[in-house]
Amino acid sequence: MNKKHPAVLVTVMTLALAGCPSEKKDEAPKPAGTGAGRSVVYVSNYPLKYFAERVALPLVEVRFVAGAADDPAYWKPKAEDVSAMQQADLIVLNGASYEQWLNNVSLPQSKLVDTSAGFHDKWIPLEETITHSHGLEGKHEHSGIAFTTWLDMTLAIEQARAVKDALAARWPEHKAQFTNQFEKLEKDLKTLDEHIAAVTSKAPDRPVIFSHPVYQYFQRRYDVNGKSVHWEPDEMPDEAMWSEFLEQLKQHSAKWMIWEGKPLQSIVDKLQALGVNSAVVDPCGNVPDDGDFLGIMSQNIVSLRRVYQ
Amino acid sequence: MNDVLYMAWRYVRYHWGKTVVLLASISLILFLPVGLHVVVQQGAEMLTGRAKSTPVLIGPKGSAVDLTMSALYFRHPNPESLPYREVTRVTQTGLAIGIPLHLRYTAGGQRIVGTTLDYFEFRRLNVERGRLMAMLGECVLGAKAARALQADLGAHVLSSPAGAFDVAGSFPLKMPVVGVLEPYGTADDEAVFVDLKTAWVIEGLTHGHMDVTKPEAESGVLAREEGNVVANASVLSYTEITSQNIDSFHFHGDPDTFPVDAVLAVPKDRKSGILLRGRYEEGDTSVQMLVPLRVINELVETMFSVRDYIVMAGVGVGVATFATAALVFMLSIRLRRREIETIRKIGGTRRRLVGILAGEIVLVVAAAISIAAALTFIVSRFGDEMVRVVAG
Repeated sequence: MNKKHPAVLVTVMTLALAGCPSEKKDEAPKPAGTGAGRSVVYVSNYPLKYFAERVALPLVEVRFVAGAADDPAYWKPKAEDVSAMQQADLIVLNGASYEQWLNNVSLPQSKLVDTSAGFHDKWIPLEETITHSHGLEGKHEHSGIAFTTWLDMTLAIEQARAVKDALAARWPEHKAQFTNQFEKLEKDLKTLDEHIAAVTSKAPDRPVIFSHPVYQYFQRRYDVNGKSVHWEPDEMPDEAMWSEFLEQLKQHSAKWMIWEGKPLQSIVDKLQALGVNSAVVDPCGNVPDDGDFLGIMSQNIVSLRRVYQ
Repeated sequence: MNDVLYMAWRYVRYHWGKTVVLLASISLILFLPVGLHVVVQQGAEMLTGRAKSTPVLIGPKGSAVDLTMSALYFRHPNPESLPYREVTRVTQTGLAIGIPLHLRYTAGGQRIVGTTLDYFEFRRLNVERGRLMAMLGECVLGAKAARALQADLGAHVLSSPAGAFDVAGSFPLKMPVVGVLEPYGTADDEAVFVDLKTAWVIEGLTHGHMDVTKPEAESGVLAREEGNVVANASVLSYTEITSQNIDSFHFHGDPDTFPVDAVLAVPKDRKSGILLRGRYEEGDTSVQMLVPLRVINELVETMFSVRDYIVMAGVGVGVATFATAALVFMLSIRLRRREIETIRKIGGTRRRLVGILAGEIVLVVAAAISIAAALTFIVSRFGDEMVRVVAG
């Protein structure tokens, strides 16, 4: 140990005096546990909810409060939501910058499970980066990472595996059951992966337009020749957006536009007039009105068959 | 017997000046070693108690004592800091949970402790009123901090700049109090707890301002270049985080490089702790890993050594004091020769005379022991408050 300075000794003596407990001297501190009751896992999007339920039900209750938002990626939690999440046994996150709200809240780090951390090297940085500078500080940038990781089914399997591993670490007594249920899920996701790859490989050079920049992982995994615009299915694009689209069509002569959700009929008709058809490939970030993750992905495969027939 | 004691009592009372001097000197000479022993013993127990509950500590290279004192008792940290990635590194080993501590700022003289919620779990801290912090910018007060700041639920606490010349680096952040902890009789009572990200906001590493890419911010924009917006100083950072502006808060740079002052590593079990220490001892030289109990034990040993020297000196002074007191008694017997002669002439036996003189000694010594015991009790019970009053 370092040589002890007299000032340190004075500090220690002062601490020795000041620290003499004067309140609740004989009482042991009460634990700040999560409280009794059923084991609870919070998830931040629907694919994770589906994976967690497939792996953990009926042993664990899976809660998805971000589902209250139209898009869970842009959920804005209230203090009550965060306080409830603090009591969870695990908080399963998509990662890859999906949970923008995470920077604004206080959650126990030891309970957070980042399901995409394991493939950090496969994250796709967004092309659009805004930098700004003001005051005495230098330039700094606001960049992002594409976060719809689960549309690459191989990455979805990795995320499901991360969920399983976290559950098994938290409740090792149920590891066998978690592993067994995960293996069934993995098989289903592999089947989806093979089917999607089989469909898109029929015409890998066929150009398509994505209505929204959320298909980066899908595009990379299934080798889709796609370009993206930034349209909403329930909002007619303005003239500037149509002009930009027409310019893009000159460079990238797509006959199909792939949508996140069913577009307005007026948009479909206008696209049709330009020789562009519409198909829905739902990323399924939130709980679907009908069916489940596998069902929606199967519908997506049906849509893709139309695009690649 | 009562008459002997009565005579002795009347004597010590009549000669009250001499009695007070004797009482003061004997009681002090008794109190000093005993009181010191009690205080040092209590202090050692307190120090080792908190150190025992902190298995492993990681910090920048430098004084192990300073690191331990700042991490365990929230004293002012070393100027050097660690990058946040050290916290992640600990957790990623799978052997322990890393709990960061950011200790650079104060609020009204109370240390602001930037950490994660794992700290409350680790120290087993519960809120007495309110809740733990949930949103960026919120704070939770220790029991004594709440009293010192005269703040309760719903009140606001303002952070202080890091130093007198820190007029531009960090700005005061107005933080709502959302919880007050139960009193624990530890350094946690005096802290203002915030999320680590909130501490970084205070430090200016995370901030929120008007979106300069939007047309509303045009008056504050000097130039718009390809992919870059240059804004002037009129684009002010928010000094309070509200539900309206919280989404504008963003990191300046890579959070992995942001500073923390220490990392509490909480191993999963004893074996994990040993493995973790082995990894740090073999590898990285830019950080130090230490076991607080060892550091504190060395300090406590030093405290005991100092105490022993003081006690030895006290024993010497005590012997001298008692010798002086004995001399005073013997001289007083000579001075009281006529008084003693008078008592003998009116029928007082030798035994009674010895009884009266011994009674005087017993009364003075008994009173001195009582005073010393009372002083020891006061110090053991109210030592911290006394130090606070003396220290202002």
